Amino acid sequence: MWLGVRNVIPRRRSSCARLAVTATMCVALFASPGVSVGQSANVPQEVTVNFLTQGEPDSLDPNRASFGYAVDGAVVRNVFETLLRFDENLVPQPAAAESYEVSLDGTTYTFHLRADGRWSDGQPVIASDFEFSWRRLLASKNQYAPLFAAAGITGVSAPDDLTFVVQVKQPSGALPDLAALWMAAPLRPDTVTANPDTWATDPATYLGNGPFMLSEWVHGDHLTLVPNPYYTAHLGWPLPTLAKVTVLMETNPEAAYAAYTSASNAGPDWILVPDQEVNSVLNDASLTAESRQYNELTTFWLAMNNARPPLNNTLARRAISKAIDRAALVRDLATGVSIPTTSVIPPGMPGFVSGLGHDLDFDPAGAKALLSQAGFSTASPLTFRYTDTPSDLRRAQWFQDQLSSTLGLTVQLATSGDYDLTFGGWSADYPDPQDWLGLLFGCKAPFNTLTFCDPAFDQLVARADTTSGADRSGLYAQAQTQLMQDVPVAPLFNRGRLVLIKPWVDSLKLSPFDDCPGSLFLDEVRILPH
Amino acid sequence: MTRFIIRRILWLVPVLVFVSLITFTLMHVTPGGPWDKEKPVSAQVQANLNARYNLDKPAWQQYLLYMQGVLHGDLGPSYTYQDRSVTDIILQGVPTTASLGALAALLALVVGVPLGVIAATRQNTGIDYAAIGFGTMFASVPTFVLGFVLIIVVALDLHLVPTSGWGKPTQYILPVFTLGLNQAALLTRITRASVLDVSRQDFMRTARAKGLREVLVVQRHLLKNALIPIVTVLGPVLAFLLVGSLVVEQIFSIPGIGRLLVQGISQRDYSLIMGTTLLYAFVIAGLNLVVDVAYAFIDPRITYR
Amino acid sequence: MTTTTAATPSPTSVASGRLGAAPEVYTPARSSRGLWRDAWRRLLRNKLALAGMIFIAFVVVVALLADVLPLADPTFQFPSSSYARPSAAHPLGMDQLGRDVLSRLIHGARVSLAVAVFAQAIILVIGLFVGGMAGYFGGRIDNWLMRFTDVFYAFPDLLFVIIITAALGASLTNIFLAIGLVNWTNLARLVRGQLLTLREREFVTAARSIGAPAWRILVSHLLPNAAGPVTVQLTYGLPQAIFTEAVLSFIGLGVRPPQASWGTMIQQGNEAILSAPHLVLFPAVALALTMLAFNFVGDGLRDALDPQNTR
Repeated sequence: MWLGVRNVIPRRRSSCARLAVTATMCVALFASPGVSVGQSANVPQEVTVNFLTQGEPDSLDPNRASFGYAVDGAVVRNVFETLLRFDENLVPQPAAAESYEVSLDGTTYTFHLRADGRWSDGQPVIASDFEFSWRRLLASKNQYAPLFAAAGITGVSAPDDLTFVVQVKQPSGALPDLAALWMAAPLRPDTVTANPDTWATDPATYLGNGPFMLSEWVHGDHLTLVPNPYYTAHLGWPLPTLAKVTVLMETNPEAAYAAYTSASNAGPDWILVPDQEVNSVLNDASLTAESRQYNELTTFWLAMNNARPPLNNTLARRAISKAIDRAALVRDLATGVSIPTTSVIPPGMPGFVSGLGHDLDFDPAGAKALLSQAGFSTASPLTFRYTDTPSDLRRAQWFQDQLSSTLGLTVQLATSGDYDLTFGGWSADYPDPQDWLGLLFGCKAPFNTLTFCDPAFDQLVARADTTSGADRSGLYAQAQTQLMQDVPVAPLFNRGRLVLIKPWVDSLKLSPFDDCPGSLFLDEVRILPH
Repeated sequence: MTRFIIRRILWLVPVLVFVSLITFTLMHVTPGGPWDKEKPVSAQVQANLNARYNLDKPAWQQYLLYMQGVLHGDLGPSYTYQDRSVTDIILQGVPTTASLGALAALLALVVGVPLGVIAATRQNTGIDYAAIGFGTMFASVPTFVLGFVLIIVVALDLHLVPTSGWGKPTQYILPVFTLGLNQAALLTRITRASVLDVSRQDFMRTARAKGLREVLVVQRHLLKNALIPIVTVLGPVLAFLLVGSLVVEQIFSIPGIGRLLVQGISQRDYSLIMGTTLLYAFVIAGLNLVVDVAYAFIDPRITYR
Repeated sequence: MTTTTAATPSPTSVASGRLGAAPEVYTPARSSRGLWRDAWRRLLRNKLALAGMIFIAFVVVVALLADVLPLADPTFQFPSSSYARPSAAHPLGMDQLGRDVLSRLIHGARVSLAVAVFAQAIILVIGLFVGGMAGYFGGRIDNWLMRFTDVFYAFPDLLFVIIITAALGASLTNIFLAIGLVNWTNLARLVRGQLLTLREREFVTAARSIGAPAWRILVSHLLPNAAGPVTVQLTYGLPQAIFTEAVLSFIGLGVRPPQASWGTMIQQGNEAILSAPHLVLFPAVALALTMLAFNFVGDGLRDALDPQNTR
């Protein structure tokens, strides 16, 4: 997802409430077959979460995903199970498909579905369900369709009930990641074609093959998930312990925070702390004890205009990168829980190289030296472009001050026109380096607004993109190393968030790729007695 | 009398036409289309959507098609939630707003009227001054301010009741108070003034001189006459509650019609804006009609042209 | 109103058109001067109204002098001081972007007062025009204008203002335009009512019978009498306009950032209401006190200008 100058952060924040175990429910709730209560047998396994922080979902139809309503994925990915599923390291693992193989030339992917996959009405999951959905996604004008098209998918087919085949134009190492995205969920052709516009709005027709199913949807207020009675534990994916998940639609993060912290324990069981409350949480011992930090797959950087002097010189760009005190930046502008970084790919996903770009870190003396080495005259001013909002102005002013105090540079602020510097970033569409490197920094990349071009980098990326298997990560590491030597952008920080979790919530895994904290591994959460 | 009622009902029609016309014109005058939101759409998709929402037809035709739909109870499809119709969306919010308004009205009546009566019958005593103070203070404090002060006091210091949402009785307390207290104060003032006014009238003296017991005096003569100005003002009070609920819903994150309208405006969801506005106008006009008719029944002195 | 003398003016003085020659005939002029002076005295005796006027005067003076006072720039973001608590340097603290709250509060007062005044000005113009036409001409014109007014009246005003502002775009001018365009109905009705009553009075008939031009009648007789209730109505309208602007800003249809307005301050402060309640409290209290003050003054004016008030 492109975080350009305008919308550096997806404007609607995603906040997630912790699964809260609320009221005690009677055992009757567990009457549905196949639901295991686990070790905490006498505690009602119920939680309330605020996943839908953008309010009423735009659409829960997997093929109708949109960038603006990314949090809807938190619900969809728990109701549907895709061919592959991300594990804790964000590597796609077999899920609905028990195995898959890639042809020697890398253009054919064959997925073998497991025989015990079931829809929430008991029907078996068959390959033509995937075929129907993938065709529908590729044919739609949905915002995510280009991602799938960019992978070069030329055709999908279902030769038999348990075999699903995907053809790609050229080898695409990222196809397994795409197959694990919630837009690629299977769909029931009969229900969807019968009610093309309304099948996803009514719990009765909203059939899924995932660990949970939708039992109730009070529009504008909340929806309720209960375990899918026909879902079975398989391939390491467990049966959900929770018996009921109430998903709230609170759009005001402050209100969600107030509900969490109020004395009555009727609010969400975990929430994403709004940025303005981070300090008050960290200053409160009991709240700090309940908090957990995690970073998102988001990197923010200082984008530089590689075409214009003086920043068309690599040394000058490196100097700028060394002039930024990232720790101070995070403290002043990013609530203090974000993580400074010097490379583009964020931690937590495949492709992250720890310590990469350390020579780009804060070093005022080194920066000055590099600047004079580059023959940079500090007399000529640089232009920093920002969007005309007070918060953007604040950020621009921070950089203006920093560059002036470290390097003695004059930075002018402008809201339009040509620029030398601007604030930018990127957020992962899927946790694979392919989403970060080629798409952003390739010479002809669609999202390359920096006029950066390094043929060596392009070559490395092109090779990596078309390799599958163990060699991929090595090639991508090389490509990223090359990129960090070229310094087209000065990486600043990975966005970090703070989550408050009630003490009775157990086994809550926070993943950087969560649409909402806790949504990726919701089926593992349990509630302790309290 | 019946002629009056019929005429008043017929009057609803030009009002609603006017409201819909103005809203429709204003919506279509605004620069930028409904699809210029965060999600850019391709030209093909835009053309499809335009056809579906009749945006490719001339404005007057769009308006007539829309009004035709309204008469059949169809308020059109929502621009934001493309799977749902505006009628459905609004119907979800109606019970919430209605219960908020009803509870606030109840609070206003149950607190305001008796307080006013007591204050008037015990004029110039402590309780009278308290009532006047209450009436003056809270009638001027905007619901806005009251809501936030309550949130700060209750949430921060007392942690007693939730400050958002709707559905559990504890969540009703703050919003209903915020909305209703203002009107309760107003009703206190009006009731007190009206009761004082009536009790000075000659017929009251007559009634007492006749030897009627005080209780009967109050019941038969005082209350009925004093209620008239209250009923007069009930129309504006109810209208205020309905419109004020818009603000209260924003403050307390209550999923009612007011919040839908604000959402619709920020998302440029034209049909949602039109639908909610028409609903508001219709309900307020209807309430005013009911109040006027009730007024005519209560006060036999009133004759209507 | 003092009684007219029994004597009729001599034909010569009338024919010469010197109507002002016998002032005791046209008593409204003198009694209205007396009315205003009496009203002022009564108003001053009303403690609440007096307090209100002093408060408003204070707010107006401070707002007007905002540029001259030693205040921080309301849009300047002090680095590293988000949500600072009140301190000596910044008596009301700082907001989420490090801007001085006191300075923004005072500049916000300017916005509120400007909206109030300009909106009422528009209301006055439209209301006078519509009410004046209806009341003066009567008959069919009156009928149609009143129907038009009734239909306008039926549209809930806050809603109407919201829709207009949403359509025109959020800016200061659009806000008071919207408020003015919507809220004139009460004033129009008032003016019309006054005119209808006064039309029937003898002195008007007398004035017309001697050929006094319409505008002169309006200016010297009808308007001064209507001035009292109109002033009261306008005074009550001021806090309404201030409130409407605050609500619009709270919903997001208010003045553009970084301009300060009490409503936008409340809206932004709401995001951190749990940890920094002072950001909401200060503008909210300022809003409440200002509205209270105007309402007190309005009440006082109404009582003071009430011709039945014999005190």
